[in-house]
Amino acid sequence: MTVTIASLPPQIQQRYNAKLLSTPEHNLIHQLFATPVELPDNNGFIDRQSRYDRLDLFEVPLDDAQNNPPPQQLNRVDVDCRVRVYATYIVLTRQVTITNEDPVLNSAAARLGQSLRETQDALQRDNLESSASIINCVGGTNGDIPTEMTLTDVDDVFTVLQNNSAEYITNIVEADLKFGTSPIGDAYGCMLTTRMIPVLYNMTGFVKKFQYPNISQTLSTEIGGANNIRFFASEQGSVSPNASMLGNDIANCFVAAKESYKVVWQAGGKARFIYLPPGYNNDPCMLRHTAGCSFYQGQCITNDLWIQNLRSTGI
Amino acid sequence: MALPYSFIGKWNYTNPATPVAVNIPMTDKPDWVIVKNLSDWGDTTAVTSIESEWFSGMAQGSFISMDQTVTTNALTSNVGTSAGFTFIDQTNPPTYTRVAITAINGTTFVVSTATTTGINVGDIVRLINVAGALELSGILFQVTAVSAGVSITLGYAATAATAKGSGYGNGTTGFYQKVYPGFMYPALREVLFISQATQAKVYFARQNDFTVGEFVDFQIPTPFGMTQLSNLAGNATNGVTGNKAGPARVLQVINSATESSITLDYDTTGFTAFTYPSSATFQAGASPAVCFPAGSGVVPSGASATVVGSATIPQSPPGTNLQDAFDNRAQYVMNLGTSVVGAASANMVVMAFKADFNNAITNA
Repeated sequence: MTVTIASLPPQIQQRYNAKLLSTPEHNLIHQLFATPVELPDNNGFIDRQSRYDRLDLFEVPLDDAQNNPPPQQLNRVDVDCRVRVYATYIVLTRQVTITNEDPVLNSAAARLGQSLRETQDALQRDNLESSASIINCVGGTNGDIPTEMTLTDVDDVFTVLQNNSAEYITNIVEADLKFGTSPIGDAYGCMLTTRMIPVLYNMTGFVKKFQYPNISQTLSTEIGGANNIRFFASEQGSVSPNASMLGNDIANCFVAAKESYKVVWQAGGKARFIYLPPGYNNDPCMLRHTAGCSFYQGQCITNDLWIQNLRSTGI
Repeated sequence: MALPYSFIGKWNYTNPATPVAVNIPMTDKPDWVIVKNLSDWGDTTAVTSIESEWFSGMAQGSFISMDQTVTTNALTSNVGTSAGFTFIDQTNPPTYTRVAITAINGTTFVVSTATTTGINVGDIVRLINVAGALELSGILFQVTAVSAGVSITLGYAATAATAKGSGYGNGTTGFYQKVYPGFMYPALREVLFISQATQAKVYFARQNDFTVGEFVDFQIPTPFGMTQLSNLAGNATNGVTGNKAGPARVLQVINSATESSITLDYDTTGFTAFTYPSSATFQAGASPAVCFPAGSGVVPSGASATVVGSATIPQSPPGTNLQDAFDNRAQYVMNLGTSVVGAASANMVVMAFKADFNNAITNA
């Protein structure tokens, strides 16, 4: 037989490159500003935290008779958060693991880990989407309600948070003698979808991350800042389809202050990887591996004044 | 190769005189669902879809079924592509196409439309770009009646209009779109009306999931009037009415067939009246008025679905409300459409099974 390129057997034409290609992984942003809380084991499944409400000011002086003033009532608000269990797994036959050159179980572990972290992030996103107070962007010109986000909308939500005595997430990024840079004020954190990037980049007054005077204290998920809000983007950021006045998609941009929401993990139920070799799970002939992961998590808003859903179209 | 099917569960329901679609919540994704009519099986009644089935891999809304015939005393096979089984993962719900409307009455909330396919009582719809009533656009409403091919009625909004004493805008053209709302609990609600009363009453456009004793807060933008009710959690005592510090406590929750409301331990008599912006005002730029969860509280004395509780006296011993904890209430749901839900007044049983595949890996 004449040997040509076309007649070479497949095994000769091809080699298996053991260096795996990257799997797309979403940015995890929705737990960035959450207060982490650990629920001890054997203490139920609902974590309760309490806050005492403000008291009135007392600006009227006592008179000369020195009578006691009327007392004030101390009020308390409890915030409850239920922890739920989440789990998933995959099944691999022994035939797969002993015939593949690629270490399939290693990849299974990596993908399970990614799925777990992205699930944790999405749960927090869904919690914020359901419960956070709403402010529509109205400063734009696209004729929809909400409009596309503008600097006036950023300043509006900043004002609301300031009026509500919310504390900043990050400190000022000071100006420096570097061309093309601009300072960023003390800031709240905004979590939004990557579909908002064109809106942000078109916003007058938006400072891209590479225009910060100092990027030593930034995250890879950070896009930039505007006045007193810094923006963090994720592919799995919150979007409400067709929800605007004109039926366009709405980006839910969660602007958070310190201690505005939390994530609760059960002490004995933190993220874990579970591998069971062949022979478990009604597998008398030892034909199947299973690889699974599980975690216990609850999430809730701890102060409704300190987190706002700034809704924008234009995405 | 698949391992044997495992049993997910069994559910029973009885159809009303005019059967409507039924949602069956499930703890797992089914691969095989069977619906059987227990009332008519084996008798001499001609019944459509006396048994219906769905397998994974079948299209959404499709079904196979058996009809019972009288004259031949036999079962005949049937198949359909709509109004059958629709599986819904609430964390990743389907997106429905928007449907044109021709008019909306801002008092009765009868929405005229030639297309009501797939819409059932209890469904949630969003109104979009309603000419003349843009202030209603974007809000989620619950359907309380369907007149096939003629109209749908948004009865919760109509009740709010009655309480308000005047209608909202009358709309002409626009769209409605069926949606599945979020699954996290408790969730905010758009506010349609708030009364000026010593115990203020708040009306919503769809059923609410607030609970008695829970604390709630508000964001009431300027065009809606009653801005004093905004951001209560930051307040000390309100000087106008002597309301207590912090957010408002829920004394009563109503989720009837046509009313969704909560009554608050909060005096709004001195507040600006709640108004609803006109279509033009909303279009010029406004945020919705919303009510959202703010915390858990003790259950007030005498509180129930029908009796408004005491504004100041808690239950004795204190009733701690654990039902209002923030929670994930997502479920898998199998929607049984009108082609498979069964005959009028029939007792029905649903069984669901799951196949545990040894999935190996794709492309391995």
